[in-house]
Amino acid sequence: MDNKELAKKIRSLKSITPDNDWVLATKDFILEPEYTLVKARGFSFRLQPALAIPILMFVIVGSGIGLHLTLNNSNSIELAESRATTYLAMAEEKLAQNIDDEGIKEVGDMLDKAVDKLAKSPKNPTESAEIVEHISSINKKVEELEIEELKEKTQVLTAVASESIETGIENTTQALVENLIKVLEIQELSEEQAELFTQAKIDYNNKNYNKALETILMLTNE
Amino acid sequence: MQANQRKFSKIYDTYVESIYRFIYIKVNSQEIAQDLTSEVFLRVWKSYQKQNLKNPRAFLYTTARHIVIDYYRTNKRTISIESIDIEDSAQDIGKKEEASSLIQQNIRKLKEDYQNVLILRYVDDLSITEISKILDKTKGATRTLLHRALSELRKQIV
Repeated sequence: MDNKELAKKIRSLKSITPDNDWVLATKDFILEPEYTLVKARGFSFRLQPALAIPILMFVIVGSGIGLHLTLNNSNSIELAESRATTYLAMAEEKLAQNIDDEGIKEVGDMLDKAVDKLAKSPKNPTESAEIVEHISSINKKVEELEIEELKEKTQVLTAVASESIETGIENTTQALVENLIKVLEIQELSEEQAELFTQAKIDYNNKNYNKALETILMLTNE
Repeated sequence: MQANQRKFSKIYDTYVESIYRFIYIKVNSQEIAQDLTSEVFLRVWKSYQKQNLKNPRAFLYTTARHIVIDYYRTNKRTISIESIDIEDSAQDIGKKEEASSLIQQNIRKLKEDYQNVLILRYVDDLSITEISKILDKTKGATRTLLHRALSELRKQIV
């Protein structure tokens, strides 16, 4: 194949085009007069109780998943990671300005987009921490400014975020247990440990991942 | 709409498609390409408000390159080319021609510099001078890079 043919093949990629609705919507979001990206933040536990516990668990268990992901590249828990944080950051920034009716509508649209992104995939620990912090701040601001139009949206957002993070926890626990089982399969176990290990595998197969993890932790203490 | 917004709006209209395509070829996912493209324009818009950009196209491509690199750096433990290809083929059947998809897969297997020079030259039709500015290389080095990229791509295809 000569260079001309090769170039022709590469040029065929010109057919890739973005979705027109997305192009227009993104432009609307970006071209806010005073809009600036929110800078990176530290993690804070000034969270709503409903989210604080799942996120804390997720961060703790997430540290374990690092090992699993390193060992198993085909795992795609984070593959579909989306950027709900971008929309949340935009909403948060917008709320920090003097907001008018038009601005409220835009924030509502951003929250809808964030909900859509959150519903699509479980989140990794870092992103979950950012999401919770953004939501906490947005909820606080909406309450402060008494923006009735946004209250329902923030409730939906909080509920969807909780669900997404919980799904992340379950997936993470499953992957962690799966990896621990693989490791234990090749270990020499005492009679008591073998018994517990059998129980852990039964729990795992029954999708009771928390119970399986608990049993494995007991087993390692034997 | 203020003057700088109007100007940036034109920049956005002019380049959004090519920046999206540049990113899409590298990440092979509509959702991720949309997210990263938004990030590129947000970041450039932020810079644009502080200073007038002499060469917005070069700045956009450079920002896009860095954002894609950051994305892969963050996700390197969990993303493999094979898994993305499978996902893509499942999601986008019927949307793209098979030939385009194959060449895209082969380009993605090349090293980053080779991917950039091929996309910029043949998909975005940029001159060697323009590419050299974006990649921060001399014109001679860019030509050499293009030649090597084509050779490497040919090896992948054969």
